[in-house]
Amino acid sequence: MASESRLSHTAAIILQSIDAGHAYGFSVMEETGLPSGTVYPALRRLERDGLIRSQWESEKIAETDQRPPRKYYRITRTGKATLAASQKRYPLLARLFPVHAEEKA
Amino acid sequence: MLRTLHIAILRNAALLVPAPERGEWLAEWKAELCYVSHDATHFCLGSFRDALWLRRKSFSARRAFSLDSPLRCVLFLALPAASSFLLAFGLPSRELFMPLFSPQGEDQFAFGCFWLCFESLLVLLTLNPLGLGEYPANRYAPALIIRLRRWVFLAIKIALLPLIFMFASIALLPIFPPALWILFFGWIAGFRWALADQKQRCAVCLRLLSNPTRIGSPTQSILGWYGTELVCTRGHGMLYVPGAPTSWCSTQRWQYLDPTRSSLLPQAVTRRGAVPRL
Repeated sequence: MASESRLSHTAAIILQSIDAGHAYGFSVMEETGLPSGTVYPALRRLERDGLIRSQWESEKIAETDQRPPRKYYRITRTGKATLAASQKRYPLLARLFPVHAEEKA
Repeated sequence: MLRTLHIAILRNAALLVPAPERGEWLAEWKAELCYVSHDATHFCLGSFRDALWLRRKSFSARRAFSLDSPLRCVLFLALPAASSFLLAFGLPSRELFMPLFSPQGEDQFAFGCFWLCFESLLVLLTLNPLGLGEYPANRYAPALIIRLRRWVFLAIKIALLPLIFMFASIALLPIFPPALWILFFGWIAGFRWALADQKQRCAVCLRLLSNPTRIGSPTQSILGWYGTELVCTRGHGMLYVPGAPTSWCSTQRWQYLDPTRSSLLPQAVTRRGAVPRL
């Protein structure tokens, strides 16, 4: 509950973006328009608070696509609860990612 | 060319990241860089903020004031010694104390300090045993010069402690006449701490031992050993502290370990800094 009340607007946007399926740092940057110096530390904070979980992509998949393996982020159950609380606090948050809103509907 | 510059920026930022996390951190940023099509320099510069955040996160007050390493321990004593010296001789209060530093006063003061140290040593001898435990050498024991470092370290601690309390009492004397007793009680407490601290350190690297594990049970002391085992995270040895002194194990005992065991210990594992791949 403590983390819910402490989630800033920026952190809530990033969490919402991850929940919408933007699973890695650069994708979150592109979606939110936030700079790398804001997004990556925020991802670390969210992971530290247990709101998201990171996982390295399998090397086999990355090799097949001829690119380095990525670190993917996924929202946790606690993260979802916190996001729901943040959406109440910031009513416009859900509108930022209409794709996700459609999916939910 | 530009790609080299970006990698160089990331590598420089990586220096700010705590060593155990550095490999994974750099791998993530390099992987992300591959997807950046425009303004990659600006993207890479953001890595400094991320690295600084990680550095700040790793810096906790508990770790900052941890006396784990011998150097930190000496600094922990040297800083108050220097501060109390400055307070004693660098402040205007020193002027109030000047009469004491007439040639006669100096002698009296030095004699008083010496006498108080001597008295406190007598109290110490009656309060607790001065033994530091058994450190039997085996085939894995390091060279004599390394083993001697333990005694040098103890000597430095014991030399710095009375200085702290002596200067502190000099600084406080003009405003608090019974301050000389600080030297007496401070020295007793400090000496006890120095011995207790020394007993909990590795005989080789002088770092504090960790992972205390209770072994056995007091009700089974006739059939087997019971007490606490501590280990040096660098794999230098183990310390066995008896729960109750017995005729066959009256004091704590250090055992030097085979160097191959270091690979089993956490410090050796984290040093590799392997990037997890799932």
